[in-house]
Amino acid sequence: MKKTIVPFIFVTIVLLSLTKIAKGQTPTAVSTDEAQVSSPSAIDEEEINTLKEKIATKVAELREKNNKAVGGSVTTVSTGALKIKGSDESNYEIKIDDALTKAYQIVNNQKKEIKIQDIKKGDYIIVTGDLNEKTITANFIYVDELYIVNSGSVSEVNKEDYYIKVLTGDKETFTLDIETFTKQQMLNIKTLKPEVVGFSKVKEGDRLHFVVKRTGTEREVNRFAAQKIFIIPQEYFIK
Amino acid sequence: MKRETTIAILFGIVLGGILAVFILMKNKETQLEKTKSISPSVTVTPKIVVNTVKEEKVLEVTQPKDGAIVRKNSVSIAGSVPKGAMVFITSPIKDLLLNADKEQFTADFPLAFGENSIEITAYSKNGQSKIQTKHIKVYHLDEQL
Repeated sequence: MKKTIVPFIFVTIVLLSLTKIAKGQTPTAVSTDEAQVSSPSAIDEEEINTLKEKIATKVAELREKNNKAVGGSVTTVSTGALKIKGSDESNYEIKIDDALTKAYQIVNNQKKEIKIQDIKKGDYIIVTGDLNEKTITANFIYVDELYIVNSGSVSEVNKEDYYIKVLTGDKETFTLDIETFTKQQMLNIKTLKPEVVGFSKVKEGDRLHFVVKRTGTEREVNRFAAQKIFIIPQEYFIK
Repeated sequence: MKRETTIAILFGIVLGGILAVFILMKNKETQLEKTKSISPSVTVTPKIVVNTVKEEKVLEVTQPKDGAIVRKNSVSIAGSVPKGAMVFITSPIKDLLLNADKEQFTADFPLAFGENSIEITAYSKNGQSKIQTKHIKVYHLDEQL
């Protein structure tokens, strides 16, 4: 009996210990395997997403960097292209992609989508896109109004026809028609504050800042209806 | 010849010599006073005069850059001007007068949608110096690239 019990106990102990070992190892082995399979894919996905984000940011930065705006009057309209003359007197060629380029009209500080075909010769447009020398691949085109902001000294005041002639620093003479809508202001040399004045206050020799809108229907070259004028009286310079 | 006579003659010669030397010296002094010298009597040391008048600061617009595209409807205009200058910033939608207490100026300036032609002029404090003007164009657009 003793002879059989001893090996039996021995075998039982061995088997039990083996079962314990197996029980203890199995979950670990499975979980390790799972971790080995799942964790690389999760890391890869994360890395891919980070890389994607980085690329997207870089592309956006580059596009932003290369994105330039140029304003000018349309001189030629043709299929898939426009030519404009910029305010710097340079000629630019505008390349249009029918599928990508969008056009808008700016009215009352708002934009309204228009067709590319609506853009005509003489329009003042702002073009944004990649600028390569004098060629722009247009992303967006905005038809806008051209305002001229300049200043100079008053060379003539005509009190019968209500116009002022101004000689600018570039030796250009502008004739400004003073209309009922023209906003007229003058610097008070004592308070150094602007004040609303009438046409009678303008004198030859005064310095004048002006804003005019080009409509394309002007009677003479450099003759415009003044949107607003701001006078620095000559007394400011001789005080 | 008597001894007294010889002493008298010698005394007379010595006295005459002393008198002659005195007259000659006096005469030389008078001549020097009357003579006009051609070369300057005072040595003139050339001096380098350093012009201490500070050169007037030139109007500079540091921001925004000409042709900048802005998404907001206002922009900060900054730059440098002569100290105490009156700065006049104008565009079709706004006129702004500033008095630059320092050599720098900065101002928030509203923008219209589209192209904004902005003129910045600096008038010196006394109004005597030359007028300095800069023109910039700023585009307020909301495009998404």
